[in-house]
Amino acid sequence: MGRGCVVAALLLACQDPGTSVVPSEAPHPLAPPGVAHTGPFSAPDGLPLVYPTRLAWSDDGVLYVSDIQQGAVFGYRDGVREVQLDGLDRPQGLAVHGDRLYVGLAGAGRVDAFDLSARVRLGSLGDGDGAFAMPNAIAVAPDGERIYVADSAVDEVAVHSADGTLIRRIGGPGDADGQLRFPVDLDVDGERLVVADQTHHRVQIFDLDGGFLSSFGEPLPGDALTVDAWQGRFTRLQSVAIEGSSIYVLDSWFGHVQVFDLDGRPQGFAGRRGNCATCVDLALDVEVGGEGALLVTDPERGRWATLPLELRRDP
Amino acid sequence: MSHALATLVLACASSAHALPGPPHDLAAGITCSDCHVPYGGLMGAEVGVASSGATTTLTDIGATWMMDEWVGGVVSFVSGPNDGLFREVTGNGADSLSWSAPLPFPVAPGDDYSLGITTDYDIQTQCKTCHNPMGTAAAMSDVGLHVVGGEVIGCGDCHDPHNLEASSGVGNGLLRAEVRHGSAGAPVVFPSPNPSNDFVAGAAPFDGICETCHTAAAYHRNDASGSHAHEATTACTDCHPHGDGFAATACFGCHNPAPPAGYELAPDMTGLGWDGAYPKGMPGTHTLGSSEDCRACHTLANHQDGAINVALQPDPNGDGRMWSSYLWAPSGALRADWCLECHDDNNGGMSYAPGSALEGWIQNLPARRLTEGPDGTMNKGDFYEGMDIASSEPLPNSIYPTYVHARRGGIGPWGCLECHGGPHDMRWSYVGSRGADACYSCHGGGANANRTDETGATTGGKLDSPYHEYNGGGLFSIASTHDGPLTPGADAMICRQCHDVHRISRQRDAPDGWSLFDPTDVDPAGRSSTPYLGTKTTFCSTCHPTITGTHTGGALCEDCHTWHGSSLPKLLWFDPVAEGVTVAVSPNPATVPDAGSQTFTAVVTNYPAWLPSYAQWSLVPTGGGDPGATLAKDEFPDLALGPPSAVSSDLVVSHLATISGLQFHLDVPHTYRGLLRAEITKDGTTTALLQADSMFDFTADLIFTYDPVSGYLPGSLEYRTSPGPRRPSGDLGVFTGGPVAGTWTLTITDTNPASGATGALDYWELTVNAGTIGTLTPVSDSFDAGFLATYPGTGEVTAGITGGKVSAWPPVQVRVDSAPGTLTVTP
Repeated sequence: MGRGCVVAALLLACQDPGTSVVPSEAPHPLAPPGVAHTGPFSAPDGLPLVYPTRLAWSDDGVLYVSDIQQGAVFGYRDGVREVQLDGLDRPQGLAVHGDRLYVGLAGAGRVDAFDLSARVRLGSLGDGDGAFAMPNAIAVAPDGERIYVADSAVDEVAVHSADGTLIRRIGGPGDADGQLRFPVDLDVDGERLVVADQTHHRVQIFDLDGGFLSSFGEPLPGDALTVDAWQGRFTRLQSVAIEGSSIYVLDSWFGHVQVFDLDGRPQGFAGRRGNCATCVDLALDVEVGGEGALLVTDPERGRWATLPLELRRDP
Repeated sequence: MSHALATLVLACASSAHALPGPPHDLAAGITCSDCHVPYGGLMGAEVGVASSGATTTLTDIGATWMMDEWVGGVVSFVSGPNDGLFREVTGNGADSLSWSAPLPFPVAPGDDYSLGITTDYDIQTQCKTCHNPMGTAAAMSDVGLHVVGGEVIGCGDCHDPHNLEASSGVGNGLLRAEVRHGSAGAPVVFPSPNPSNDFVAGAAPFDGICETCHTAAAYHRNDASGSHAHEATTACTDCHPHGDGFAATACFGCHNPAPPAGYELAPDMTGLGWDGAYPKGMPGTHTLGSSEDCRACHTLANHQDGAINVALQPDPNGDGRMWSSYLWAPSGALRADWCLECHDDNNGGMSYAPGSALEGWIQNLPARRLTEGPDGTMNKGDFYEGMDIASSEPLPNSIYPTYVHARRGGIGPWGCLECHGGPHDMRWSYVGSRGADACYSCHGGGANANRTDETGATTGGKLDSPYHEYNGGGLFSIASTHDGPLTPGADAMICRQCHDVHRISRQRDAPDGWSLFDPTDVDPAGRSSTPYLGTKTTFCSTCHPTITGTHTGGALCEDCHTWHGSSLPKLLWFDPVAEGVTVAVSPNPATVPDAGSQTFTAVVTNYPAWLPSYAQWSLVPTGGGDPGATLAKDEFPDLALGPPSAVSSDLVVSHLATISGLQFHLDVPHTYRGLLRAEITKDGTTTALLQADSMFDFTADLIFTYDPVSGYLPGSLEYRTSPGPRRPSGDLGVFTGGPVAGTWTLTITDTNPASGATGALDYWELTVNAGTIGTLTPVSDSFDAGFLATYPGTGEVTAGITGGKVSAWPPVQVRVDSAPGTLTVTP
């Protein structure tokens, strides 16, 4: 085993020229494209989504959706399904970076990486099966070199290198700054990692190495009798996304997204729960969907929904 | 704090408003404010403009509320001096609202407001913010809402998040001590901590948690009626899991491919197209593969209540194109519609694929190639050239839209299930283990009831050797298939190599009746893509390119050859009628003594001398007769039904014949014939089901003739609507070959005597068709063979020589049905 590689390392990124270990269950990751539908990759079908949980955009405009009940990940371009991975063991967390797709498998307790061009499974992060208790969310740093996995059940964020090696753990159970209680989601930009710290009703911001920077948010109290009192307060903080100069926080209790600037100052609300055309039922993930819109999964209705990013001041 | 809502939330752990129990999962860090939030119920929000108001009241003259409709809800002000404030509503009239905590300013005309109230939907959704696969309660996220008769039974009806009740099954689901649903009849008891099954108590007063509401279920009702023995030692949720809304979706737990002894499923589903052969077990499932897949076709609403009508989904593929009937289609055509819900017409894109293709029917082709022809003239080395079956892609699951395979006699379209087994039939994917079986079941098999094999036995089934007659049988019957060698056991070409029942649109190219012809399938490689245009020779060239048009004189292939008509080498025609073959049987009529015998002689003329041959014959009574009399029983006084729940009537018969066929006629006036079940028993030992009860048949009077040969098929439209003959629910063949003489017992059972329906057995009769009187043992090389008929009965019978054939080697067979004669019996 070469320097820097661990047993379950992602072989594509293992640069030690002296060794070459090819997992028996997958073709070599450098196999030429056109090896269609290898492993979990299969021909896209027309089956509807059943319970979509997470969303992830690729750089080339494909929206990936994990469906935990179907055990599948689907990729849509302009609403047309063009990628499909089947037979996944309760897929939850989801992230895509370049040709690399990461899927958190709650059933197997691992995070798998796939090469979207070669259509092969590359391997797993860390120790493979059982490495994670609940890989609820995944984010990849813009340079692709660090993969952050929110392991909700153990109150921490695991950071892996692109070759699958565990670099460090962030958080851990506790109530102090930098500690977490059920980190349900996370996102990352070039400078900061934002974590939805659900039980603490707060969003924590770390640097890319896990150093605590700041946090905002608190529980919505019973005496929040004015609209203004809702801002920056959460009941069921479910998802977080960072894009440009804004942080988007989904509260599934109300089905709305609160928008903050990078310093945690509230900017307004978008979306709501209910039966209207742009309402959601049980929203579990938020993703910035391009200009003027947010995307949220709406699993009870077997869909994702597009919310107009028209901020209002009422919740 | 004066605000009622805030008080409730903030003081949950103390004060007069304190709840008498801890918050849900307090030990796990859950606090009051994790669930109790102001303004939490936004569903059903309504907006309006105040006409007038004060600090604790509001009037909106445009409103039309019901009294106290909004009590417990929240009014929120979104303009005016109170903008951003809201209050819990304590009362409302038709156009007025009131609350207890005064606003800072009086409500002014023109102030905008909204109204919201927490609904069951809110509660359900809010529970799921933790009880979802990604939530803190992910381990308990597999919950489905209990829906009964379209009504949602909410989480809170059975669960109390505060675990308030002393007997509420602490640690066992936060169950309430008293289910809040309106039909609940008693408090819930929990026999012991986490017993094997505390969902039902199993004994009066029937206060297990399921029993408290289930008043109309088949099992475990709280009014002591119904069965309480149903799976008494099994937890209800083992078969009715919460994750499926308590529907019985663990289907295979009860419905096994090999059902254990004692399982039964009522009613007989014959009337719905079920073949009735598998009471509770399923011989197989549609290839979706697991118990979960049952729901792709079945909607299980009500099944969890013990209801037995597991109705079909009206929209199985979820495309919004609703199927036309909620029940199983009564006719073949509509059944095809049902199949097309997923196997969508002309759907090459598989966008409706439920996970399986119309698999196998092309792979089922013989993956062999002939390397040389037997005579060198037909270049059979090219025969399967290009038919690289093994590498062929399976067809998508689509079938073509013009679904008009001509039915027998040209009546109506076919439904898928006329060839394919039902979705629970192992033959679902394939129509038979051999590709041609389904075709032969009509074309030369089942459609030809009198069809016999070379031994004279009636087969009524598939053609399994090349030695069959080719010019007898019913319309469109097929004797032999195109095949190379005539060696018994060799693979034959199968029908679907040339015909495609799913591509009916091709028949426009086949004006002479060669419908379903598909040259593309004959040669998938596309070597000859010329559509069939009425000249069979053109079609021959698809596989025999070297012989096309080479015959002198312009003769076409079909002038000399037939690929259905002959088992002669080279598939040459042999038409006995055209050759002038005749047959005479004597004596006709004949006289034999009672229980005596008579020798008959059959003489064949004009048979080609170049063919050695033999003959075989049988003498069969025609039209019933004696043996074969109609025997009746007029019940007077009429035997009354319901209650008592069953009546029986005996008919004693002394005739000597053996049974080859039976018909029955019943005359049972009754309020609801679907409640009735009719069985026939011979000598107290052999029983067959004549009529199954059917909960879907609420028509009066069971007055029918049961004819197992020509009666309407169960599940057909005629079966449901016509008074004409119908087929028995069971198999009368169990009596075949036995003596007519004996005691026949008809038993009519009212399956629900408590229903109040009444009726009587007035009259019934049976008609016995006798077996063959005599047959000839074939004698080689003799056309004037005599054969011996032994007659067991008394009297006079009209009989005919049927099923006779002249056979030769190489095998060619002539079938002759002579005119009926009169066989006189001397006592």
